[in-house]
Amino acid sequence: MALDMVEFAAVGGQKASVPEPHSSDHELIAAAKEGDEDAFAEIVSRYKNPITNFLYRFLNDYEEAVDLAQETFVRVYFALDRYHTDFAFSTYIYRIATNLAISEIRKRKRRSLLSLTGLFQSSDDEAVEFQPPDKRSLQDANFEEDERSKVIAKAIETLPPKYRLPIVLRDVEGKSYEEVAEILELGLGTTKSRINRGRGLLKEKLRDHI
Amino acid sequence: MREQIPNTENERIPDLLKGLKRIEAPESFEFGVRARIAKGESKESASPLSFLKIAVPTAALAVLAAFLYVSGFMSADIPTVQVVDQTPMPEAVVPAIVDTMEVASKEPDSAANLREVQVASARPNRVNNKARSGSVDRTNPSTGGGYKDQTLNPLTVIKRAIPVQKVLESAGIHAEFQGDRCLANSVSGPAERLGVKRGDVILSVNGVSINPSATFEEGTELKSVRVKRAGRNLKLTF
Repeated sequence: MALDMVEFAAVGGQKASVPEPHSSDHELIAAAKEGDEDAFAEIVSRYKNPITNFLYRFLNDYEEAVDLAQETFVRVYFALDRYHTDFAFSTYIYRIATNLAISEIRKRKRRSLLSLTGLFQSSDDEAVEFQPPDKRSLQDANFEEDERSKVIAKAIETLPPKYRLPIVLRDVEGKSYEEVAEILELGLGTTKSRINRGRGLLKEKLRDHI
Repeated sequence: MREQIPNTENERIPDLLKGLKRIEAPESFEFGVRARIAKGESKESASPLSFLKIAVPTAALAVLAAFLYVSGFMSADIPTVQVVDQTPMPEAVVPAIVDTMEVASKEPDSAANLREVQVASARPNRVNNKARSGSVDRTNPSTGGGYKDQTLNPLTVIKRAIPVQKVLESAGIHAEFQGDRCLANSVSGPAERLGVKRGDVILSVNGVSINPSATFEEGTELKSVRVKRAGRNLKLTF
């Protein structure tokens, strides 16, 4: 099912600058395939905030979240010809973002392992990747979070990825169980179970804040 | 579910999470996306390049190792020999080659057809000796002879031929030929400990009968000698 702009504005809580106000995602993608740069810009405009928010809540690292969100759109752009309208574009783009986020988590694990051994710092890329995430608050006033939010964000970050992903998609992004299941390519029962289990783990971690 | 958690309590979690402030992309977000697209930059598309980062140095090392391996055979002390031009020639006029060094000395006239390359030959000693002993005179071009099996491969290594006396000396046997007889003039070192004695007649070395023109490949180790002493043949093995 194609999700139209109105639905995404509701989910993402954003006001898109709208060159084609009533175009659905699939119509925009079709136009982008034809070389319409404005149509792709509209796609970016619709999804940049939801995807950035999703990645930030999953990774708890703003710069990494922005980087991966941009990478998500770059991949969408280069895979326009391979995109099929069999399922919603939002599912498609969240799936790409999810895969990138999982890759990032794996990289972090490798980095922490390497930093323990301290043996390899071979390529320039690795040297860049070894930079610890900048946890300072950004100047952007929108980014300021209160202490409670930081505690919650930290608690989410400590969840195992298999629980963190569905929790963020369901409870932060407001996706339906069915959408979460599609994005994660899991069964509906498994998805619900993981969400419930993730909530239970979060409840334990946030006992003082509930 | 492995852990029983009342759903009613869990329902507080969504409210907490929904209350989190939504994070927005920076203003430069679209610019960053456009810049990456313009550069054709994608981490996905870069993955083959990251593979090349490993593959290229590995291939270079392999080539270097192969070069060193080959050049190891072509060390400086290998004689430069002249090789018959390998363009097809009638068999009758192909110069026969027993030892590339001999070719150079015996057939200087053929130099016009020759080009200088480094060659090598893995020819066993025995073949050398048989050929040198004249048992098969395949070296005479006038007979139409010639070693087809020794068609010169420029990558084959030839080792320097040394006279049999040198091989014997390496084991402590100083010998000289009196006619076809190889007589041990003095014996020392390993040969003496083995039991070779002054006055012994050396009949064969490493199982190969010797004569004044016998040669061995450089580096040949003396493994056994057969000597004649007081009418008896003795085989002494190192």
